[in-house]
This record gives sequence, C-alpha cells and structure tokens, in this order.
Amino acid sequence: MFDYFANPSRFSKVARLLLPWLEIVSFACLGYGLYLALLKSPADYQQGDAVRIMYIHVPAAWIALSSYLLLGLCAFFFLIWRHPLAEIAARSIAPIGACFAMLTLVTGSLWGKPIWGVWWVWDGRLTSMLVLFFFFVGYLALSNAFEQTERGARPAAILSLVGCINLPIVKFSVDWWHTLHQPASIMRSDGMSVDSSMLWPLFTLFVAFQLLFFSIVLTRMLTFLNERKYQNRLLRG
Amino acid sequence: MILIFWQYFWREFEISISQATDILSQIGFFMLIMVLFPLALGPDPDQLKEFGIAIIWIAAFVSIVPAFERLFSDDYSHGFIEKVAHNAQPLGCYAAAKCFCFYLISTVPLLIILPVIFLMVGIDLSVYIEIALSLLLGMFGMTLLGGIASGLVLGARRAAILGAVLILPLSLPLLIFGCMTGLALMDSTPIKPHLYLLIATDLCLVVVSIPVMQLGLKNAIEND
Repeated sequence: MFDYFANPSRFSKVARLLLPWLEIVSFACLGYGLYLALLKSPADYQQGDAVRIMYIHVPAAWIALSSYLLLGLCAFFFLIWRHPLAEIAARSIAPIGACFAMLTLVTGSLWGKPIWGVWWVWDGRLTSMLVLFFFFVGYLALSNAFEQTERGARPAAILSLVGCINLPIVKFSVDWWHTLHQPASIMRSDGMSVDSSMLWPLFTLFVAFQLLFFSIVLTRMLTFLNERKYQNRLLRG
Repeated sequence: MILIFWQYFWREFEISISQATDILSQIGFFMLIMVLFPLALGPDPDQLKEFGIAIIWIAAFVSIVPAFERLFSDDYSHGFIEKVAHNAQPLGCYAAAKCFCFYLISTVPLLIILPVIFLMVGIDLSVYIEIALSLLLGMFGMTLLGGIASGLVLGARRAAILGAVLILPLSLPLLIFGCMTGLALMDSTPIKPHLYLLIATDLCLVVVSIPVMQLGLKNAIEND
C-alpha cells in the first residue's frame, strides 16, 4: 500500500479527493469542540474558567510532538529510499509543526500567568518544548539555506533525525524532574484522571487539530508538487 | 584505521599550529566574553563568585561556536574531503581525527588561561582540577556537536550563523550537567554524578556524531 501511494501523481489524485472532506470534518470538529470547550464544559473548581485554555494547549502540544515524530519518519524514509515525496512531506510538516509548538508555548504561558503566577519558568517540560521549537526552526533554516533548494533536503533530514533525541525528553520530562508542570493525566498507567465532561471537548479538539494539521500539510504538499512540475516544465521548455 | 586516524590528526595538528593566530583570537574572544559579564552584572565579588562557573561555561561554549566554521570548510573548498573519499578512506575516521585535533587545539589553551579567569571572578584556585575536568568533558561533547553541525551546513549560505542556530539547542544537556558540577562544587556536595552524566552524554555523542558527520560530508561532496 505504501508503494502504491508513493507515486506522486497517484498521491496528488488521492490527496485532491481527500482534502475537501478533511477540511469539512476538521472545521466541524473545531466548531463543535470549541462549543463544548468554551460553553458546555464545566469550569474547574480551583482554576475557574482559566482551565478552558487546556482544550487548546494540550491538543496543540500533542500535535507538535507527533508532527516532529512524523518529520523524523519522513526524513528517515527520504534518507534511506531517497523518495521525493518524503522530502516534500517533511518540508510541508516543519512550519506547521513549528506553529503548533509556538501555540503550545504561548497558550501555556497564558495559562501559567493566572494559575502559577508567572508567564514562564525554567521547568523541564517548558524548556524541552522550547528546544523542540528550535529544532523545527533549525530544520526550516537548514533546508532553505542552499542555492538550490533540493541541496538542503539531506542535511536537514539528518538534523531532524538527530533532533528526535529530544522527543522522549519532552514526553518524560515531567516524570524525571518534579517541577511546576503537572505530570500526564491522560496517557498514564493507572488510567485517566480527567472527568468525561472535560475529556470530550479535549478529544474533539484533538481530532479537529489533527485533521487541520493533515489538511494544511496535504495542501502544502500539493503546492510543492505543482511547483516542481512547473519548474521542470520551464527547464525543459 | 588507527594509523589513518593519526595521519589525519598530525596533518591537521601541523596546519592548526601554523595558524596560531586563530587559536589566539579564539582565546581572546573567550576572555572578552568573560570581561563582559562583570561589567554587566556589576563588580560585586560575592555575586561574581556565585555566577563565576556558569559564566565560564557560557563563555567557553559561545567562544568555540564561531570557530567551527573553519572545521571542515577549508578542506571542503580545497577539495581535500573529496580526495579522502576518492582514496576509499573512511570519511568518519577523517572527521573524528579532525574533531579530536580541533578539541585539543581549542580546549588546552582554555585550560591554561583558566587560573587567570578564576582570579578575575574570584573563584578559589583549589577547585581548578574539578572545573578543568568538567570543562574537558563538556568541550569534548561540544566539539562533536560542532562537527555534526558544520558537516551539515557545508556549502550553505551564511553557514556560520546557521551552524550556531543548530549547535546551541543541542548543547543544552552539556551546559546543564557542566554547570551542575560547578554548583555541586560550590555547595561541597559530591560532583561525581554530574561528571558521570557528562561522560555518558559524551559517549552517546561519539556514537551518534561520527556516522552523522560521515553522512553530512558525503552528501556535501556528492552535491558539488
């Protein structure tokens, strides 16, 4: 199946079919999720309405982490099989992942001010998330640093693989260093510790963000494919 | 393999010695950064003593970053890396020799002037051995990181600033463990755990960096 869709023209055909549906579902989930999160879900008994920042912060953090993992996977496929689609996918993921990492940091900071009393602390989770953002920026800078754009693909792919060391550090930072940021409350061994009234908006928004992420990435990939096609045509012209 | 390693090492060593001004300017840069901190923080001796070791680490890391630009770029533009590859000699071995020589050339002078720096920020000379040891370990890892980054940015525009952007986020663990050694010394708690962490980071970097440098160099010469 993997080989089947790895053909660029077949890929763009499928992607073009899929894209409107992805967009519709993601916007529907976004609307419904925001309604649940901002209006329907209860305020926290300690944090009040500030807890609603969580519904953006947590899904954005999940997307940021998983998009780096995806970037690493694409880089791996590109380095081993030199497949052009993997390179285009990595190029498309990086800025979107950087945006989600930034969104995580900004919403976390906004949430931290009323609850912790500070905008920023040098806590393990916050610092490693900032480093994740820098890896996205490094990927973007390196992949665009050469005269011919294609020349940057392999160095950037290698860099993103090296940066994967940071992923487990982000994930486990709350367990390794006992600091201000709270430990995981969804994915933990003794079951979830979040009530379903707060879980539903969280998951709806997670699905919405994930689909939004995929639809933007697919749009960018299609644009890159078209761009390369026209460049080749001009060269042959 | 070991023979080839030492051949490259001596070649590099002779070239570096003949360009002694590079070494001097790097040390000068290190000293200048050290001067900036007391001027910025204020000359209060207690405060300087408290922050002294952290300042030394930052100055050491920041002063070595611009030097990485010349790690591979001369050999790259002169075609030496291509020659190594054409002779079917392992690029990883060449890169490792290069990094090891760079490490010695840039760290030994640092350790020689370290006592002077101690006097400047008012750190007691009795902790020289411990600080020097932790700096030796930290700079080793830093050099390998620099090797990774400068291999990747070969042939890029504005390679120096790009290299710095890539190196500094990766260097955070070394900086943290290194400065924790200093803090432990100041509180007279055991420093061994922090030194072991530094050694562990260095060993991981040895394993990761040599293949990555090899990939980066190979990619750079293939795309010429």
